[in-house]
This record gives sequence, C-alpha cells and structure tokens, in this order.
Amino acid sequence: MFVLSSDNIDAWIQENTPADNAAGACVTFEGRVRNHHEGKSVLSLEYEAFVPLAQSEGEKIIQEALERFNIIDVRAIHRHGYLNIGETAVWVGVIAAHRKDAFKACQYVIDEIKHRLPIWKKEHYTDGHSGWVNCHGCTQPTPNLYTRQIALPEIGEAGQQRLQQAKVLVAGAGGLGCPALQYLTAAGVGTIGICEFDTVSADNLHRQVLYDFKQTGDSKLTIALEKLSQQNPFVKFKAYPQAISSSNALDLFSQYDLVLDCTDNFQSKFLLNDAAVLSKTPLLHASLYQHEGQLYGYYPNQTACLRCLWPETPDESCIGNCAESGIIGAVAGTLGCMQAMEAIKFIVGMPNVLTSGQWITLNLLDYQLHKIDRSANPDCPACGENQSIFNLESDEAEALKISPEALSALKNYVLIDIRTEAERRLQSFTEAQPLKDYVSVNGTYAFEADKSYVLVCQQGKRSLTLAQKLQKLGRTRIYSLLGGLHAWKQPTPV
Amino acid sequence: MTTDTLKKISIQYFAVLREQRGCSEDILETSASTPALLYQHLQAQHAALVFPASLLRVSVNNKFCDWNTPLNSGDTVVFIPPVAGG
Repeated sequence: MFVLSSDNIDAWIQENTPADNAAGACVTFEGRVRNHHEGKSVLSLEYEAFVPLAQSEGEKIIQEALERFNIIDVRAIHRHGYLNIGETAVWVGVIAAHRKDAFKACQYVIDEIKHRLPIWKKEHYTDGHSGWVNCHGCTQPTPNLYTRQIALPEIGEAGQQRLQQAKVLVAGAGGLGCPALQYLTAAGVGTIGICEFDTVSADNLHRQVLYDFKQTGDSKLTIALEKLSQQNPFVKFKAYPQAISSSNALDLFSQYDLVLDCTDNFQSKFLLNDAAVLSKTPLLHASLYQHEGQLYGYYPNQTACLRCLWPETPDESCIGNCAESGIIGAVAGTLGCMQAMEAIKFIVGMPNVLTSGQWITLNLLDYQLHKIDRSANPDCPACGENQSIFNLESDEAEALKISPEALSALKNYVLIDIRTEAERRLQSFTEAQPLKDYVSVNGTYAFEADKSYVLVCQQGKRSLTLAQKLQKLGRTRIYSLLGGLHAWKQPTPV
Repeated sequence: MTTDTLKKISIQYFAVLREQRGCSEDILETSASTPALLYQHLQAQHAALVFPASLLRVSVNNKFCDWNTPLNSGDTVVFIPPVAGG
C-alpha cells in the first residue's frame, strides 16, 4: 500500500501500521522536518509532488519490496504541501517473520522513495528566504556515469542509448554471473533480469565475488540486487528467485533482448539453448573447466545452436563440474567479463560480434586462444530442417534418460527393445529383450519390482515417451536409453 | 590417397581431455587418415585417454567437422569435450 497525503499523516500511521500473527518483526521508519539545512535555520517546508507519477512509482516500489524480500507486508505514506518543523514527512512500515528481512526491506523502500519519486522540497528559512532542495535522483539522473565509454567512437551517445534501452537476462548469479552482472550494471544496461535460486556457500566465494563471507547461507539473489542497485541506481533490476525451468523459460526469454547463460550444468545449458531457439532469442553461453573457458553465442537464423554439435544433452557425469574438477576463480571472472563484453558489443552493434558463429576456447594458463568456425547442422533436432524439438522437455523427463556410459552404475538392469518387429528384423539388438515378453495378454506390463528396466528404441525418443507413460502409472526404476540403439551401437566412431 | 603416408599433425586437447592426456598439445607423425582413426591411435597409445569419442567434437584447422574428414599434413586437430562449469 502506498499513499500520498496533503494532510497530517499521524492518524493514518496509527491505523495502518501493518500487523500479522506470523510477523516476528516490525520495522518502521519516519522522516521528519528538521529545523536546519546546510547551516541555515528552517522554519517550515513545502513538498511539491507530481501526484499521478509519484503515486504509480510509489506503488511500484512497494511491489518490488514484496518481491525482493521475504516479508509479509509493507506500507508507506508520503506527505506533500506545507509541513511544520517536527511533522512527519514520510513513513514506511514493514512486517516480516524475521528482523533482518524487515530492516532490509524498510531501508530499500525509503531509499527508493528518496531516489525515484517526483517530489521536490522547498525550505523556508528564518531569514525570510526560501529555496528548492534537490531531490536525489530527479534533477540529474545519470551524472557522468558513462562519459568514458561514450567517448569511444563505436559507442557514443547513440550506443549508450541502446544500452539504456536494452533488456538482458542473466541466468545464474554464480562464478560467471557475478562479474557479468557487475559490468553490465556498470555499463548502464537499462533493464537486467537475474535468475538465481541458490544461497551463498563458503566454498564458492573464491569465484562468486558479489558475496561476503558473513553472508553464507543468505539468498544470493537478494544480495546481488542490493549490491548492484547501489553500484548503479539507474538500472532497473527484475528478480526471479527460481531456476530456469521448462515451465518458465519461454515466458522469461520473451521479455528480453539477450540472455546470458551463466549456469553450470548441461541440463540448464541445453534447456536455455532450446528456449532460445524456440523463442528466437539471442543467447550467449560460457562454460568453464579448471583454467579454461569456452564462449559461444546462438543468434537466431545466423549461427549454429548448441544441439548442432551435441544433439543429445550430455550426461552430467561425463565430465567434472566445478565442484569435482576444481576451478580458479579468476577464470570464471575472465569468462564472465567476456560475456559482458560480448553482450555490450551485440547491443551497441559493434564489429566482430560472435554472430559469425565462432566458438571461442581460451586457456588462461598458456593463453592459447582458438576461434573455431562452426556452421549450423541441417540435422540438428533443435534448429535443423527436420526439427524434432518443439517444446521444452520437462525436468522429470530429463531424469528418466540414461546414457550408455552411465548404465554400469545401475545394478540388476534389463534392456528392453521397444522397436517394431520390422525394425528388429532389420537391425538386431541381441543384448535386449523384446517388449512383447513383458506385456501380458490383458495389456498390462509385467515388470519385477527389484529390477531396473532400460527401454531402448532407435533414437531414444519413443523409449522416453513410454518411460514417461510408465512413470505416470507408478512404475519406478524405469529409464530410457539416451540416443537409443544408435548410441549403443556406436560408442566410438570408426 | 594412401593411408600409410605419414602426416605431420598438431593436436590440441581441452578440458578433461587435456587432463587425461597430461598435456595440451601433441605434434606427431601419423598415418591416421581421419580424426576418428587418429583418436583411436591416441587411445591405443595413451591408456589414460578414456573419454568416449561419441561425446567429443572435433575441429580441423579451426573448423568443426565430421569425424571422417580426410587429414592432410600440417593440419591442426582439436578434440573438444562438452564443458558445463560456471
């Protein structure tokens, strides 16, 4: 709730201080008219507000606080008109389960009100003079923030304007996301979305440089928003306290001009890839391994996508992640900065953007850099001529897939060939039992409880559909062989 | 083209592959006529090189290409595993 009032607000505060039985903390802030300003005695004060905009902006700030902080309710009221010394000019009240969240939200709301509301203050002094006092952000919105980059001929005022109008979504505020976010924020990208669900972990601090040791266990998103808003208060941040998933990716992508993949696992990277292809949104990937990094972009109708090279999502266990293989923090920092640089180049329209499709690999130990050309694969399941990916695969389906390499981890499993008779005559698969052996006369499946069953078809698609169906019927320990018989028969190329 | 002609090939390894091979570069004389055969030779020579070729992608002279692309003397071959860290 946000209210503008031309009358004394004491009674309103009495009646509207928020309360709830679940609230363990109530933090209120009250701004009052003081009797001095920069050495002059003040008699009274006059607030002039542009009411419609102040009202809508105030409501926005309240909404943002509710989304960003773990609070129950927040209310604020701002006076306008004539005020006497000691009178309340602005009031904010927040209730939350815990005091930390309440303090943070209260601070956020009052700071944003001071910065953003079109309310001007005129002080009447005891010497008979009066003067307008600058409100913080209104008079000079971006004081000299970008002069050093505007000075570049490739950027200039027009390029800065493009950055200001751009909307960039950063998926993951970790080792890559922290520096990428800091430099995009510093460069003045107008709207930045941040997708992050995790909390600060001490063993990630060596590369996740937005967070402090004392914040271990706190929400990364909340801290990132707070720090980045302080770094550049003229950037609009949108917070998404969730992982990118099949249910939200397309909706999120449609709201942005560019997405940065700062995630750290194959499932996310391939999901982002499919969402970018389906929504025709440019996507900039980066990946890390120890002291190496890779950088590549997907630009709709211009470059290959990730599935042009790897049609199937690789198994997470096929290569170590940062936790298992180790990573130097500065490598993540370098690649995250390269993502920010590439994003700025793309937004401004600078030359040599990765729209050419090049795949960059950089080794920071020996400074070997490769620019590898790649072209779109006509057989790509995501962006090829015979596209077979038309919607995002659910995370549940992803969990049913098992690669030929990962089979050994399953104990006591049975391979079941679900292909048609004709297919099996054409290409035999002696290691597997035909599905008909497991279907009883009344059409139900006769699976044993203590065994795992791995369904196999030609490509791994029909088997996935059947595995999903069986899972819905309550069957556990059912899998679909990733890549199907095709992958099984060709473990190494010859 | 004869397969027994020795070709001088420069090979670059990335990420988990570099670790398994124990270095980031090999320059060798080989009779392997394609990247697929070259990788088989390398796996036969280096027992630690166990990463399955089915998950690798290969580039010849800084262009992603098919595993059966003919190799010529002086080519640079790069084997690239998928990388996910962040």
